Amino acid sequence: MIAASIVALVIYGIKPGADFTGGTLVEVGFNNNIKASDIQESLKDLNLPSLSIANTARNSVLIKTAPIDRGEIDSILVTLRANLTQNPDSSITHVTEKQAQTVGPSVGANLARRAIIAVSLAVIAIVLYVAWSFRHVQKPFTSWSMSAATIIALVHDIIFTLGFVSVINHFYGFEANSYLLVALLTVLGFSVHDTIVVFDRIRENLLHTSRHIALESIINDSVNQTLARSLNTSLTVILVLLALASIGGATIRPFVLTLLAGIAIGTYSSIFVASPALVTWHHIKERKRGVR
Amino acid sequence: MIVIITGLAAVTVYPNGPSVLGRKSMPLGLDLQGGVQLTYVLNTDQLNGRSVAQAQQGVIDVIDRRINSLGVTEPVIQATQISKRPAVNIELPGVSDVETAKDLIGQTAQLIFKEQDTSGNFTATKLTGQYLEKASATFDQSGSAGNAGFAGNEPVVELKFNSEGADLFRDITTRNLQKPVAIELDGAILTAPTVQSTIEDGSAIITGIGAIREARDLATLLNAGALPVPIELVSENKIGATLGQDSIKTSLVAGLLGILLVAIFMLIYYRRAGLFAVLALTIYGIITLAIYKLIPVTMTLAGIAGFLFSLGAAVDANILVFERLKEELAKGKAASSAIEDSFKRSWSSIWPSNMASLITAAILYYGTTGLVKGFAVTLAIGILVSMFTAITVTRTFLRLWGKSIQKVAL
Repeated sequence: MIAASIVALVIYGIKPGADFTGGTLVEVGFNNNIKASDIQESLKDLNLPSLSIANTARNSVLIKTAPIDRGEIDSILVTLRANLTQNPDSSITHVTEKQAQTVGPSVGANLARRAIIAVSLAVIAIVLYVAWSFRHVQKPFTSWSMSAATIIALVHDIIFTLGFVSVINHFYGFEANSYLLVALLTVLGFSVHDTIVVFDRIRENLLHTSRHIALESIINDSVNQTLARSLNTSLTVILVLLALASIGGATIRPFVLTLLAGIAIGTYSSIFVASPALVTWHHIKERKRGVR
Repeated sequence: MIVIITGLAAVTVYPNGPSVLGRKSMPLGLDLQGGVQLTYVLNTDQLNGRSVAQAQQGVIDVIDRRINSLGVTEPVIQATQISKRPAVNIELPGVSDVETAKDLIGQTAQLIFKEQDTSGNFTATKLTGQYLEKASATFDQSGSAGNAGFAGNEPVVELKFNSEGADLFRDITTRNLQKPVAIELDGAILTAPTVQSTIEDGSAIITGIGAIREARDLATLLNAGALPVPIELVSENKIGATLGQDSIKTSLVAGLLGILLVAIFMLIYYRRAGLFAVLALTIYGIITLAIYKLIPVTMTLAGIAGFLFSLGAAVDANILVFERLKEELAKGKAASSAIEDSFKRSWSSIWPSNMASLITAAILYYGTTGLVKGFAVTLAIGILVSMFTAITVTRTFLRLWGKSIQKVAL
């Protein structure tokens, strides 16, 4: 699954939106259905820099270009009105600007840079916090191994979610914007929540079981004991998200879908990734010690 | 415990009231309400002895005064930085006329009086817009500015200087009798009337403006003061209100439906305890929304995501306790001790997982702007309230239940 995500990321990539690269977005609404290709044809003579057009609904399109000024945005609207409303074959009588956004390249780069710094700091803080809060964990685990396993699960979830995003980006024309960042942060939060709950149980079980029981079975018990909680919690969150995805506004759908994928995988990873990672980490350390 | 519950009840009444502490409704963010977002970078080539921070604050103050004249409710004007250059971020909810807003905000509005030197070139005097007491738009009544033929018709801006400015103006008019004095705005000469007599009372008139609307805009600009440094528009974002309305309505219905599904699930799966959870979560929701409203937190889609995340954490806290309670009861413990133990044991999970979220929220709050910051705020408030309701409300309900009967079943 993680391999598929990486492959998707490599093949499709994630197209950074105007939020991050700078650019102009103009959403234009029409009184009737319209095809993106017709708009493309109509705007051909304006020679707009790196122009791309996508339908946001049947009767509206999103026009993206490199950063342009207000005058050029107006000329887009004037051209569309002239070409579409005065064509006797066309059913279009109204052309309205629904939204327009211009982000200078430096603004976009600034936003992206700050976001990356903040998220990196948050991940580092979580590593330190998990290590600190599990500082009394019993041997053979150390609090750092728990912390490392938390991060492995977290990175797993983020990569998968990004892979999912790259696929929906590719097939549905969504672009990475600030909302993607918020969705990733939410996924990250849930992932850490889930992992901490399972690890807390492992810590407790280590206290109450004798040393002779295999680690694998302690971890296995802990996962089983928290399974109902993990599934129920995820189910409730997924219920809300499914409702939002199915009947919520079209504008938030990419955001909600990203959350759905991320949280579903977060549940999976807290069961099938974090705990095995803990065991593997332990075995690797044992082996190292054996060699010495 | 009873006291706490009563206290909670008092808080819960808040949002039902029409107005609490003057807050009638939660302010909606640009993405939900529509409006304009503008970002300007400051030109700090000539600071005239000010520090960058002073210039930035000065720009914010002046823009704030200018926007007030537009009648925008709840504008947001924030200092920011773009590629290490000081900048100002402006959000104007509900404004659809971007051009007027831009005209009003972007002008430096540096008013300078100029006199002719010996070779006939205009050079700056000490008299500038900073000595202005009041500017007002009106129609020329006297024709004193030299446009007698248009008396009563031409829109003008009347200037009234403070005492210091009046002194300067008297000196200038004395020095330049029968000579032209130019009034210049941002490098362009608006008018250059010939001085007929020394003016003692510190009043002047700007002619040659055009329509009365332009005269009013100019008066507004002059009253708000000049920007300490020129600014340059680097980003402009107009968000349609229709987009927002569509999002709000359908998403609100969807969100409520989702929450209803969760309540049904909890009731079916945990029965009696599920009822307590639903009650506790309702109280959680009411308290959280009341706090959002009182602060007030501007609601954006990202803010709603933060709230939903904290709701998830609140549900999780209840589920953790109930699952634990099942286990403790399976061990054959009495109801009341099983309830106490289940809280004690699950708290060691609830606390660190929520702390991790709070740490994340704090870093995002201080490290980012706009969208992500809104997410961090609603998340942090929601998490704090969810921990509070999980220990107080749910536990109280369960304790009361545990006392009333000997055996509980889940």
